[in-house]
Amino acid sequence: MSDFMIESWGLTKTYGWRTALCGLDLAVGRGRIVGLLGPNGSGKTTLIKLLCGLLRPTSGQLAVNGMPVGPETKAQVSYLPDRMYFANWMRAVDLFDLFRDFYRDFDYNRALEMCRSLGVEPKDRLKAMSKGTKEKVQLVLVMARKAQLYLLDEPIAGVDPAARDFILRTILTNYNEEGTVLISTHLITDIEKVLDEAIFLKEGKVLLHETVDNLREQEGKSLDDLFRELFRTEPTKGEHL
Amino acid sequence: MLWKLLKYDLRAMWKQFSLIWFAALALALVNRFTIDGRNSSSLIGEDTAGLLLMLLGMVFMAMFATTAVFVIQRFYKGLLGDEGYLMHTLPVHAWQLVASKLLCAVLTFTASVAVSFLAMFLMVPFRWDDLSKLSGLFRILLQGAARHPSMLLFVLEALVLLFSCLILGVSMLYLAMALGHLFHRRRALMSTAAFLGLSVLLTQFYVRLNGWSAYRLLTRLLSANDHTALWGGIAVLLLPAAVFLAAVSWILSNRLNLE
Repeated sequence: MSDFMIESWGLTKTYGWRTALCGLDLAVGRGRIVGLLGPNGSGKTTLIKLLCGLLRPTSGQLAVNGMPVGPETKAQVSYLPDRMYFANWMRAVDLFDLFRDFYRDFDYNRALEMCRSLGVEPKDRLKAMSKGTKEKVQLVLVMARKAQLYLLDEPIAGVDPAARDFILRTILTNYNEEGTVLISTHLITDIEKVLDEAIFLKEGKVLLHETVDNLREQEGKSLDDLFRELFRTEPTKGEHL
Repeated sequence: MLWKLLKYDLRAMWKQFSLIWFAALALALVNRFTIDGRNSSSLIGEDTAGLLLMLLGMVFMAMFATTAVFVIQRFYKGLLGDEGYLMHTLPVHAWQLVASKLLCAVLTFTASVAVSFLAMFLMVPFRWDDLSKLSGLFRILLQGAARHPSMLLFVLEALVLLFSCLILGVSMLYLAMALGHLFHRRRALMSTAAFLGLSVLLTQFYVRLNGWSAYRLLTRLLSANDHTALWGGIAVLLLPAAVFLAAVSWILSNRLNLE
């Protein structure tokens, strides 16, 4: 077992001519809730996809729990993508069966309990569920696992503030406390209070990686204010005819 | 893990095909009585019987068209579409995902063919006394098989040859889709172009292979025995299929782009 849950050395990922991540050196410990913060196109989703094995690095190295990314690390990672991955013919219980088959850390009964508390009927067809209910099912699948690493890609994007609180509460009350949670978002205010660490990404590079307490102490401002300062862009001035 | 993946794929197959298979069998059963009815004037007229027979033909066509679409869709949507976010994050190797899809495709084709035969059997009206004639036929077949056991082996080898053809076709489809997926735009068009390109490549491979003197010598040697000739044919079909499948697995594990 490694001291760090996530380690990367000179991690680079390019898509054709475009560089998404550029020589990233990173070390994230265990039992932490880490915010992966940055504007759109800063490389957050790319880093998460590399960690869960959906992408391969162009160069550099990446390790999860001391192992290179592969089937062994995938068994320890619980991933919430920024889109729905369901097949139309399935019901939530079919997905629970699938997860029980593949992940030893998946708790079937807990998933059913979570469905009950979230008001989801697990035997309903996913095709007939609303977008919000489908998101809940996906959240249940991720949080009913006692994973070592939770990768949550924009879990609160595109939902109303009440739903954001609800999602965050579900995450906080269900995650494995010995594991690490990596949350990617640009909605800082909503998650600031739950974060232990923050990683600021800009143009594929780590701009800042520090504990939230240290950042507040050193910078004397909230994460949200710091984010606005670091990623401030001036609007282009239009010419008046 | 492969079995677990296959279980999931087979469940998807059952959801899609159970209705169409049952429809084919039910229509065949209905036709059994209407065909009978043509000979001895029954409740259903000749026109209705003809219509039902045509309907069964349409169900057969729909079944095989659905099978082909299913094979393409299960691979494309399941591994290269949004469902890929689930499948590629499971703790399995890319080759296991491909193998599961391939096995499911082969089983789906086999089941559709089996349903077609069963439907035809159901459609033929037979009487109970025909069964005794059938048992006589089976007895003759068994006696023949006991006298010439190699015949059973031939049947088995012929089936393996048929499955090899199917595997080669499906693996070529998979590679074409995986290659098309490497492009950022017009992936369906690129997949079609890749399929045509692979067909040409495969034809060229066989043409060149036949022109190779060592291969001709090997073919002559294998042809000395009927069994070895069949196994030679199976190997020639499975060799490019293995290359295609290896290429698909490599693309899925190294060049996957689900965006």
